[in-house]
Amino acid sequence: MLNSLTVSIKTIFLCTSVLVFSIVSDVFAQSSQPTNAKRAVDWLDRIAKSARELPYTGVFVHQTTEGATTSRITHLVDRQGNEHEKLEMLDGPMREVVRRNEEMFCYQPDQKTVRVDRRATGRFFPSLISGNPAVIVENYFVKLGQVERIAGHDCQWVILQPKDTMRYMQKLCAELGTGLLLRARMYNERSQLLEQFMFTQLDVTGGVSPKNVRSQFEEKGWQRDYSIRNSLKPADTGWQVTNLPPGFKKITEMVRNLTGRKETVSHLVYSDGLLHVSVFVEPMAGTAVQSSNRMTDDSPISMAIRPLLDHQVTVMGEVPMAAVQAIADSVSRRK
Amino acid sequence: MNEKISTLMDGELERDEAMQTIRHLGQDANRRALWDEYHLIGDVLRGESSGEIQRRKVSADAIFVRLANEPTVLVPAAMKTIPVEKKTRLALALAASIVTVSAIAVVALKQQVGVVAPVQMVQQNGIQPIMQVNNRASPTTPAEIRVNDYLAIHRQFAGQSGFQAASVQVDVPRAASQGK
Repeated sequence: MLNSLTVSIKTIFLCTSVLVFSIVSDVFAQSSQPTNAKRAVDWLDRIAKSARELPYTGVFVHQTTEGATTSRITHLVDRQGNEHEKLEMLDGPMREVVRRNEEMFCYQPDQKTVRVDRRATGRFFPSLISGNPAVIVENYFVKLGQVERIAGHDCQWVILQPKDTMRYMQKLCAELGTGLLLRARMYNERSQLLEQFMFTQLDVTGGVSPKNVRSQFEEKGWQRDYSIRNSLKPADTGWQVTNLPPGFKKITEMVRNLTGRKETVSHLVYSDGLLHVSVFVEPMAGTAVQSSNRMTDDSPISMAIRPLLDHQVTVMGEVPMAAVQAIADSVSRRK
Repeated sequence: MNEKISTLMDGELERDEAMQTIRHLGQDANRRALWDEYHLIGDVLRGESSGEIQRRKVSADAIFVRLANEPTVLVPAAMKTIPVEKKTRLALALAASIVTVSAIAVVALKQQVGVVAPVQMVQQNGIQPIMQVNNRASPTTPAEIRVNDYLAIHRQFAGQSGFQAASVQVDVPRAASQGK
């Protein structure tokens, strides 16, 4: 009797101490981990907000192994809260893209036209974070790296390590004072650099006026080509992706015309808050399509093509091949 | 000294200093390497890099590290020269890419003699078997145009102008274009 009592007391003591220990360790874990994770989320928040809200002007290089292009960007939010941005290509054919909120005007001096489009999928530096940071961290381990000096500014490295094989590792460097991205790098699973954006010159002191975000070609009276924008009809395309990689959500769904072609194309856009994937579905006008996956070894864009009933499915995005394959293999008619 | 090399490259050194710097370059292999690298950085920034990087077997990472330390390479004077040579550069980039594609194709085709269908591939060994690349220089088949269109839509023709055509050449499913 005494023995069994001792045993039960021992058991209770053991249970209690285990309980106390686990509560204590829980508290410790919560107090250390979340601060770190929370700081990282705060940085992602600042990066997203600053790119959207601050006035800034600068020159950045976009580098892939295909080459480098240099652009000047000027950004301003007006008193009514409208976002204005001008992007000038400094090499290649002369181009200016003026954006007002989601509406994009692409000035092409060689064709004396202005093409009008809606922003949906493009990766536009320094506005690379489109999703909610609290959701992004569900699919990436986010940690803070070193503080480094870049283009004359101190900046904080934020490292996003994917939790699965469905996205790439990204390293973002944000200016300490403002949170604006100074540099962004994307690596494949073998840690090869796929893509890099970096400011080589940046002014965040606020000297941007409304005329700085207007195109120099605005007054030329060039023909405005609305065909792209007008062909975009937010619509239920009748298609769906049943096996989306974790964290990817549908951003938009539309039917669009392609220049010079009669049939419309269904275009569905998915994103995990950082990376975008486009799904195109179109009728196969009598052409036999065979499945294929394409990715140049060092291109940031992967692509997969699949026949589906009498349609062709084309999936592409700045994600690993596994992600476009998973998506391409699970496109189906919505019931 | 490194600064002097950089200034020399920009053609902004006084004659005497220039001569002295060149002498130093002649005597010091490390500095000559630096001279080469500065030029490469310039090439990268002007988008002339792909062929050069391969020829010299320089890892892109090393260049990026260099770039990281050279944010001031992009001086206004250097930018002014860019539009003048844009056509050549685009052509070069395109040519370089075609050469690369052909090289990959040769390797790939050697590896799978007798295989005709487009192949499932990629990640196992990193080499893409690309079928029938011979007329890759003119992406004019319906399938190629289609993929070009899609890529332009996905990239929204804004941020990455100029290099689209080069990259698409690798991405085309040849089988899709044979039906017509």
